[in-house]
Order: sequence, then C-alpha cells, then structure tokens
Amino acid sequence: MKKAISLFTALLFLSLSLFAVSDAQPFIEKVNASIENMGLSWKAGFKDAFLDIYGEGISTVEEMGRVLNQYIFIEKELEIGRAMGSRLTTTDDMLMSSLQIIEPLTDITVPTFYRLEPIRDQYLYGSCWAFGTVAAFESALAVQTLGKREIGVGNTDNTYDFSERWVGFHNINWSLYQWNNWYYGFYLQDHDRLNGGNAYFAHYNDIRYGMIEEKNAPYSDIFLSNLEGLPLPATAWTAPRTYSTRTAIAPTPRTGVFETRDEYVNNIKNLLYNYGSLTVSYTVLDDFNGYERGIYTPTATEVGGGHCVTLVGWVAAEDLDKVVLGGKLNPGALTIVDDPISELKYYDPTVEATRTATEFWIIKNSWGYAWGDGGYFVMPIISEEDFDNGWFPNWQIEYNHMYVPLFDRLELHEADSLDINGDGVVNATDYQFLVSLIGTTNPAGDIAYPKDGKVTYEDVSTWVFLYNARY
Amino acid sequence: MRKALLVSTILLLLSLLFVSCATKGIDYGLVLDNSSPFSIREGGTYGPNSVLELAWKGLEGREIIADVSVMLNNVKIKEFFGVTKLTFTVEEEGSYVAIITAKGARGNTKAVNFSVNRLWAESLSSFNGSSDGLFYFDTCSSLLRSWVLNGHSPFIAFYGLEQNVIANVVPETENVRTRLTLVDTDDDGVYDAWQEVATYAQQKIPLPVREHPTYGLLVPHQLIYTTDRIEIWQWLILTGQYAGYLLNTAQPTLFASVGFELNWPYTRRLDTYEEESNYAYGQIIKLHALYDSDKVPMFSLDVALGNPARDIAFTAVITAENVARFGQIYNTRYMQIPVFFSTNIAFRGITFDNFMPGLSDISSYRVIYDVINDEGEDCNILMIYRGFLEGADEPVATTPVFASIDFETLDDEPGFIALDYIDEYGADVMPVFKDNQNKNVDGFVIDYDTWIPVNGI
Repeated sequence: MKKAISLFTALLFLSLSLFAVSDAQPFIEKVNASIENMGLSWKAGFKDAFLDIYGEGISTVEEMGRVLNQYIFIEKELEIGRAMGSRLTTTDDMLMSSLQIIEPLTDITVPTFYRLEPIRDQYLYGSCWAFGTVAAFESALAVQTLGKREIGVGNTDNTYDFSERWVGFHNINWSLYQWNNWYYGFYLQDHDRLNGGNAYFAHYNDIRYGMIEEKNAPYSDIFLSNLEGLPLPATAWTAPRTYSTRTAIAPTPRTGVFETRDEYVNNIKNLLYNYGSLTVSYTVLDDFNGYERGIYTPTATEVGGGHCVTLVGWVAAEDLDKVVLGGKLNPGALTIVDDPISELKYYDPTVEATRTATEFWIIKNSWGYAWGDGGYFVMPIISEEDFDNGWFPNWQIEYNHMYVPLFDRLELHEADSLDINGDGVVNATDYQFLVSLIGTTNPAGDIAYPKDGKVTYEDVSTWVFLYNARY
Repeated sequence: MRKALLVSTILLLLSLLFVSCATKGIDYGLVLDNSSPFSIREGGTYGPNSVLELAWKGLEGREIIADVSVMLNNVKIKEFFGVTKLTFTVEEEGSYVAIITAKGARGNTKAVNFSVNRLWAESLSSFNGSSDGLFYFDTCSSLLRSWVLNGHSPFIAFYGLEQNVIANVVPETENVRTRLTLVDTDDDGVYDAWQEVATYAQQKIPLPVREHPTYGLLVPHQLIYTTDRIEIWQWLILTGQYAGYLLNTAQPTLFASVGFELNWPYTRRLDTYEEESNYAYGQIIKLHALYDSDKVPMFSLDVALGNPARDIAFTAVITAENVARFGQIYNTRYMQIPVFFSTNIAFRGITFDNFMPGLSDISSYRVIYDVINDEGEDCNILMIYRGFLEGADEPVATTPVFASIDFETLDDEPGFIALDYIDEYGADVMPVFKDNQNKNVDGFVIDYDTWIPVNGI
C-alpha cells in the first residue's frame, strides 16, 4: 500500500512538474480547434520537454508568453522620427551612419534556400534580441569571412559561438530612451540588463564594442537564474574581440524605401544569400507560443508581446513537403507539411482578409530544440496585396527592419584599383575624382564592400582605407 | 710557398667574413608570445592604465634578447635594452607601436601595433548593475514615502570629491569629501550654481513635494543627472486611488541648470529630520564618457569673417575642438560632415587647414542642390569629405578648423546655415567617421544647435 502511495505521489509530482502551466492543454486544444476551423496549415502543441523547462513556476501560457516575448520596438525603428545628436555616449546620427541599404546587383531566383544554424536557448530572460543579434553575427561571419555561403552551410557547424551575455550587458537604458524621447532628442546609453532589448542598438554595438566568444562570458553561468543585472566574468576583460564594420539593413517597407514587393523580397533574399542570416522581429500573437509544426498564420489577434528571432532562409510552396527542420536531434522529424502544395490560402484575422502565399520564411527561434519544429518555425512571406495596400500585418517579420552585420577587410579588395581617373598614378586627384563620381554608376568608383553598382561616400572612405593599407 | 700562404690567408679571411656575415644575418624567426591573457596582441585594444606584457620568442621557442622601443602616436615614450620579455603600464590613450629588435641580429625586428582607449574600458564597466554613461538615473529611497506621510520635509544633499597631493618620496593622494550645495543666483526658482559649504545645515536642499489635482500627493522618485542639469522626471504618488503608482510627467521638472563633471565621482544623501539620524545615501554618481568635460570632441559652426546679418559675403567655419586628438585615439582615417544652407545663399568656396597631426590630410567636397531637410525646408547641402593618409604630415601646424566656407547671400530673404543630417536610411547625408579598418567610429559630437541665421542683403 505504501509503495502504491509513493508511486502515486511520484506520478502526481511528475505530472505537476510537466504541466505547471495549468492551461497548456486547453490552450492547445483551443488553438488547434481554431486552426482546423479556419483551415490553416499548422499545428499547435507543447512538447513535454519544453514545458518541463519553461513551465516551471509559471501558471499560464499567457504568463509564459510575457516572460519570453520581451522585444521592445523603439519608435525610431517604427516611424523614423527626427533625432538630434548632442553630447552623449552615443547619438542616433552615429547609429544611422553605420547602416547601409544594399541594392542587389542580381535577382535571387533560387526557390528554396536555408541554413539550419544552431538553436540556442534564452530560457527565462527577455533576451531574445541578444540571441537574434548574435545569431546573425555568427552566420554573417561564417558566410562573409569563411565563404560558407552555400545552402545548408553558414554557421550550421557551430564554428562561431559568440556571447549573448556580452550583448545583454550592453542593452539600452530604457529610462533614458523614454526621458529623452519626450524632451531632448534621441540619445542611447548602455544598461547592463538581460531584459527586453532591441536589435537596432545591439548591432551598432557589434561595431563599436565588438563581440566576444561564448566561452569568455558564458550564458551557462546565468542560464538557471533570471536575474537581470549581471556583471561580466573576468574572462571577458581580456577576451579578443571580433568587430563588424557596418550593418546592412532591410528597412521595413512601411518606410516607403521599396516600390514593389518583389524588389523588397529580393533585397532580403540577397542579404540572406550573400551575407548571412538576419535579425528580425515581429509582434507575437497569443497563439504563436504553442506553434509546433507547419506554416504559422494567426488564429486570433490578441497581442502577446514582441519577439526577436533569426531569419535563416526561405522555402517555396512546392518544397514544403521536402524540407525537414527538426532532424538534428530527432531522426524521426517530419517535413514542414505532410502533403505537397502549390500555394497556401489562409485567412488573416489581423487584416480581415484571405491571402495566398507561394513562398515562406524559415525562422530560427531561441527557445531551445524542444520548441516548435526542432526550434524553427515557418511563416508566409508578405503578400502582394498587403504590400500594395501598405498594411504589413504586425505578426509578420516584414513589419520591422531586418539586420545583418558586414565584415569589410582587405582581402575583399584585391581587384579594386585606386587609380580612379585611370592616369596610371594613385594620388590625391583620384580622391577628388572619386568624390565627383558620387551619385553615378561609374564602375571605376564602385570599390566599397559590398559592391552595389553605384558610387557613394562608402567608396570614398574605402579609397582612404585601401590607400593606407597599400601605400 | 709564399703563394700558398697568401691563398690560405685569403681563404681564411673570406671564411671568417662569411661566418661573420652569416651570424649577423641569422633569422631568429621572431614571433610574439601571446600565452598570457595580458599579452599585447597585434591589433589589440586595451584600457588606459592597463599593465601589459610584451613577450616574444624565436624559432623552436628560443629565448631572444632584444631592445624594445614603444611609440605613442609616432613619438617614442619608452625604451628597454637587453630584455627577453617585459611588463609595462600603458597610461595614455592613443595608437601604440612596440618595436622589438633582436640583439646581434640583422633584420630581426618586429613591430606590434595596438591601441589604448577608454571605449575598451567603458565597454566592460558597470557598477552594481548601473547605467554607465552621460545620464545617471537616481532612484530615491522608499524611505521618502514614509517620511513625507509622517509629515516631514525631505532634503537632498550632494557631496563631491577633492584630491590633495601630500609631499612624500612618492607623492601621496589624499581623498577628501566635500559638501556641495546648489544656489539660485538669479532668483528664478531654479538652482544654477554649485557652492562648496562647511556644514550640513548649509548643504541640504529641500526636495519638492507636490499636490497634484488629479493624482494627489507626489514625491520625487527618480532624478536624472547630466553634465548640465538635474531634473525630476518620475514621481511617486503617495495618496488617493493611485497611491503607490509612479507618475511620469509630460515634461521633466528642472531642478538645477548645472550638472556634474564627467568621469568624476559624487554622491548624495536624502534626509528628512533636522537631526542627522535618518538618511539614505545614494549610489556613487559618476557620469561616464569617452572624454573629460574639457575634452569633448565637438564639431560646431561659427562665423569667421563678415556678418551674415548684413554682409553679402561672409565666411563660416566648422571648428572641431578636441576632434583631432579623439580621432587619433580611435585611429580615425575618414570624416564626413554635411552643412545645410538655404537656397538663397550661394556657396563660393572652401579651404582646408592641416587638421590631423601626424597624417597627411586629403580633402574634397560636393554640393547637393535643392534638397528638403527633415524640417521640410528647401536647402542645399555641402558635403565635406576628409581623409587622413598615413605618411608625412604637412609641414604646417595643425588647427582645430575642420573647414572654412565662403558664402554669399543672393537676396534679402532670411536664411540659415546649419550642421544637420537627413534622418533616412540610405540617405547618405550624415556625419560619418571611419577608422583604419574602415569601421564606423563612435563618440564624435556634432553640435546641431550652432546654426547661423542669415538675414539677407
């Protein structure tokens, strides 16, 4: 009898441990009912391993969402307001000058392309933005400096593992942001907190502070806690740093930078293909946390926070039944969808309209391998209708800017001549001539990395960079 | 026999010469030894006052005796002779080169380039989870709530640090806490000057307690300290239905129009009773920056010649105090500055002085016509592009003038000249600073408030 009681007690504790989130099962049933009712193409479900990790001490799915989705959208990103710089650690004009829109020289026509890079785990911190920033940095470094550009390569082998804790140590001081936005202009200052953050500022810190390796400020030391203000370990003080030189940005089409949907999507694909995975962000709707497999589209409109993730590729509709995302730790993992499709029609309650998608983003989350489809999820690429209407649903990643670090270095310029005017001599007249070419497409002046088919100030600064290295 | 002796002697001399030459030409294969975490690495960066190790070895790990000279911004500052490795302190910011020359060897020299700057140190800096920068948020103690509810008036008192040097074989430094108070010299209701005082009674300053018509009784919850002001920006509601909530007012309350020196420690104490028995000390208040208060690397606009209020022709200058020095510290090799001017003002010419010490300046510009600025005004833009080339500097002294620009007014309408930028992604009309790796450099300051009004002919 005693044995039976202790067994019963053990089972009870086990079930309590696995389902500390009391409404997990009803939540999943409700979302799946909505998915079925709306004829959508994904499944909701929490794996026990995920709930065991994330559910402890948390009583509802909603509460779990609040813990996980702490990306903070800054007004600057959303609306491009006026910003004045004055004396401060850094100012917005400095940040703006580090961003570059890269116009692709060719169309990216490959129908499916992705790199399944390592899934990390932010655990109970609101540090998604640090994970999204580091993941893009790792991928970009592998693609741009090791030439791991091809499909399935990038940082899939975990060659690079940089420190999210280091990035979190340089979060934005949100009090300052609130204060100066009302009154002064736009200043940005560090605050060593692993709470909600933002990739716009974090990628600027890739350039000015550089990145250190995971071993020098390991997340594992703090993983089991959720204390937000954390000092760096002594190993960080002498750690070598790796710097990016600029940040490529794909501005949200809400800025009006792109005229057509194809131009915009090609811009993103070009960044992914040629430079590495992108830091992206979106508004989390309540049902998203329960995503398990398939193509996520919302069943409802309730907002559950902001989240930052990493865009690692795209997949054409006809390849959805061939691509397996969760195979690394699960040999039995299934393809994104079971049956072949040529397009997906779905009703989007946030814009109250039915949309058709033929291509989809593959996105890496930072909630461990036990969440979603082996840590990944899939959502449609912005539709032509939404782009043309200027609606941009907030649950899609096109709602916000996307970023990928750039790594300029001498080896990339071996073929670039500094004799811009072609007189056989490299001297000040070449510099003057190059400045006169700004705004043109003269190929003699297009020496900056990356090549963009036009002459800008980037080519002028690159001329100085190369001159100092060569002469 | 004599002939044989002569040949032998010549052969002997030749062989001695060969051995001598061969010995002098030994390639020791000088390589840096980076095995210590404090080793200087090629291209490395360190904080000021770091104690660093410079170590090297030869082929197969051989110990090599060498002379070492250390250069800071192309000036020799240290020399060491006959050493096999060394440890030294790098005190000042700037670009360093350590040149290791193996003794008795020819051509066995190795140069190691590294930088020392505050950015490195600042990126590691944190005090008790605080926010390090030019703005400091001071959260008042929760004691304030009970004090005020019990009918007491709260006070705040500031303390500064003074350092005295006491003569000794090695001079001593004495730290002294000083009492500071704020005074309102022009009686406009805002404190505008610091004053050092002798007693707490003279030092303490009343903290405002407000009765808000909607929210009830308010006490300051968070103050913000900057280099030029102190403000109350968040209040704690003490009474009514919102008691316990924080109130952010639409515009912060200006408490003082003076602030704190950069990179210098202060503290404050909150107090309520007349006797000094119930108080709360704050954290160390220290505004961090990459420069001290008198070394801000700032671009500003000024009039050098003529009067834009009445003259047709006049000259504006972009002065850049402390910029060259800051640029040297961060290996800056490229600077770009936009100047906006009204369409009824004509650009007539530009001159460039020698700006960056130790480097050869290269400069150019272009004018972009008929642009709409972020305020919606029609204007033209003068883009200035200056590069700094490694090699011989110009034989004339450097000046802090980044550019002198000649303008003419075209009509009697008002206009302006301003440092500005276009706040759009991809606009390319913005200040840009790049280092010797073609990487953006942070920390330069553009004073956008120094615009020049032009009143026409």
